[in-house]
Amino acid sequence: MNKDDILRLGELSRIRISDEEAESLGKDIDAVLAYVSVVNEITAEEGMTKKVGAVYNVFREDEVTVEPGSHTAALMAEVPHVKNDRLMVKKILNTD
Amino acid sequence: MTITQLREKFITGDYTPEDAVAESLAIITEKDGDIHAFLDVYTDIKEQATVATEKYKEDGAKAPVLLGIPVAIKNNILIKGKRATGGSKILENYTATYDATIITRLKEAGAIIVGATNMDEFAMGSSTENSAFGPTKNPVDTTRVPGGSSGGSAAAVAMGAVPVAIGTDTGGSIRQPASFCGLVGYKPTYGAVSRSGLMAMGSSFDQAGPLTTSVADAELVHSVMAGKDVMDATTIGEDTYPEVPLKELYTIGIPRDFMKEGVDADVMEVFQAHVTELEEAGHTIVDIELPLFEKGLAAYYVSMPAEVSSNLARYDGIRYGLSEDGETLLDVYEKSRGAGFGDEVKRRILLGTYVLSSGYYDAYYGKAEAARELMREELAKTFQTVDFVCMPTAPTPAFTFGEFTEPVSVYAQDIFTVPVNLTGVPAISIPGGTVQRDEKELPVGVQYIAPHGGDARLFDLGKKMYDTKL
Repeated sequence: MNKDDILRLGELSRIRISDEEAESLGKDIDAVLAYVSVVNEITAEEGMTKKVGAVYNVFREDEVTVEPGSHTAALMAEVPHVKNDRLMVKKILNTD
Repeated sequence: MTITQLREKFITGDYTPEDAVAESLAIITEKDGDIHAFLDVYTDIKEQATVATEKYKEDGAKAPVLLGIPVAIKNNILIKGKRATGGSKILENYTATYDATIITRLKEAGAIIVGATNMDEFAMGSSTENSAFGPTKNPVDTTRVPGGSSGGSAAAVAMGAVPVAIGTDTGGSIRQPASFCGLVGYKPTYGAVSRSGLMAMGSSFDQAGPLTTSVADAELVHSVMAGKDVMDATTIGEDTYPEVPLKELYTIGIPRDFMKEGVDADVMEVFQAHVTELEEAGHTIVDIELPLFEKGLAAYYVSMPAEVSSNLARYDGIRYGLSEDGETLLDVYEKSRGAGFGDEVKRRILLGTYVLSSGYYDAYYGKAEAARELMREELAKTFQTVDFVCMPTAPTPAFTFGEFTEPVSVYAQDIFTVPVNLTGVPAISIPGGTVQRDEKELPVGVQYIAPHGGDARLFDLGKKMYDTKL
C-alpha cells in the first residue's frame, strides 16, 4: 500500500495522517493484510456466507424512558464548544 | 485475601471495610508510583467504608454480598462523575455522565470502587504499552509487562491493592493478563453481561469480567454483574442456550495440533503437567482437532478492526473529548482524531476502513464473518463429545517491555484466546504453574473453554482444580 492509499484511507476514516506516519502505517497494514488473507483458505471451499447467530439485535419501541432534560446539563458540560446552550460546529463547506 | 475471606472477617468484625479500604489505599500509595496500575484513585471513599462497617454490625451475614469489598475498574467502563479515558488522549478530560450497568450492579451489591485502572488505548493491545498515559509494570517482575489490555486491572490485584478488578475481554484482554500476573481471569459467554456503559471496541466480541485470586471470587462477582439488561439487547436469558449440566467428572479435549508450534517449551511442560493433574483427578482426557482455530486469528484481525472503525467514529471532537481547532467541520474531525488517537488505534481504524470498503468487503469482512460461523459449527461439533476444551492461555509468560514491536508478532500472542471471542463461548484462565526467565519465576495460565452458557461448568472445574490448592 503506497503513501497515497494510506492518506486516502485516512480521509475515509476522518483521521489526519502525516507523511511520516503514512510510511510506517503502510508497511504495518501491508503486513497485517498479508497475514489475514488466510481467511480465504477457510471459506473458499465451503462457499459460506455470513449467517445470523443465536444472538442478534432486537428492537424495542422508540419511547422516552428518562425525564426530558434530566441529563442535559451533564452532557452539555462535556461539549468542547458551546454557545447559548447550543453545540457549536465549524462551517461544513469551505467557500474561500 | 480473597473476597470470601474478607467477607467472613467483615461479618465477625475482626477486620472491617474501613480497615480494608485503608489498607487498599496504603498499598496503592506504597507501590503504584512504580507499578502504575491506576490512572485515578478515589480517595473520597472512606465514608462509604464507615457506612459499610456500621452495616455489618447491624446486618452481619445479611449484608449485600460485596458490601465493603474494594474493587478496581478498567477505565473503559463508565462510572458516573468519574473520568473515563479508555487509555486514550482523546478522552483525557472526559467525565462519565452515567453508570455502566455493571457498575450500578456492583454498587448495589455494596462494592467500594477504589480507582480506575490503566489499559491499552481503547483496549487495543496485549501489554498495556499502548496506554496514552504510560505503561503498567507487572508486579511479579517489574521488567516485564502485565499483559493487556486489562493490564492495570491485573496489576492492581497482583500487587495486593484489591481482591478483584474488572476488565474487558475482546480477544483475550482479561485472560492473558491473568496468565501473566498469576491470577484467575474469566470471560463470560457473549451476552451474559451487559455492555451498556462499556466503551465499545468490537461489539460482537466485547464482554466484561473479573480478575481475582480465586475461582469462587470470580463466580461471585460475575453473579453480581450478569443478567439481562434492557439497555443491551444482546444480553441473554436463562433459556437462550440449552442447559450445560455440571458433572462429577468431565471429558476434556486437548487440541494438540493447534499447540504444535509457537509455544515456549516450558510453557508446554506446565500445560502438560496440568493435563496430568486433570487425569489424576479422574477426568478423561481426549485428543481433539480444531483445524479452523489455527486460522481464527486471521478472521479476528479482519472482523475486529472492522467493528473498531465503526465504533470509534463517535470520537469526533464535537460532543465530548479532545477537540482540535480547524477551518471546517471536516478539518476539526480529522485534526482531533489525528491528534487524539495513538498508533495502534489508527492502524486498526484504517485497516477496518479498508476491509469494509466496497471493493474489499466480500474478500475480507464477508469471508471473516463466514469463517466465524464455520468455527462455531466446528466447536459445537466438538462439544458433542467433550465437556471442555483445554489449552494454554498464552504461548509465553510475561514478556519484557518493547520485546514485540511488529503488529503481527504481537497479534500472535492472542492465538489461544481469540477463538473464544470469535465464537462467543465462555473461558477461564487459572494459574497453572511457573516458568523461569532471568532467574525469576513467572506465572503461566491454563485456559478452560466451555460451550455457550456453560459458565457455571467453568467455575465448577476451576474450583476443583485451583481453589482446592489455595
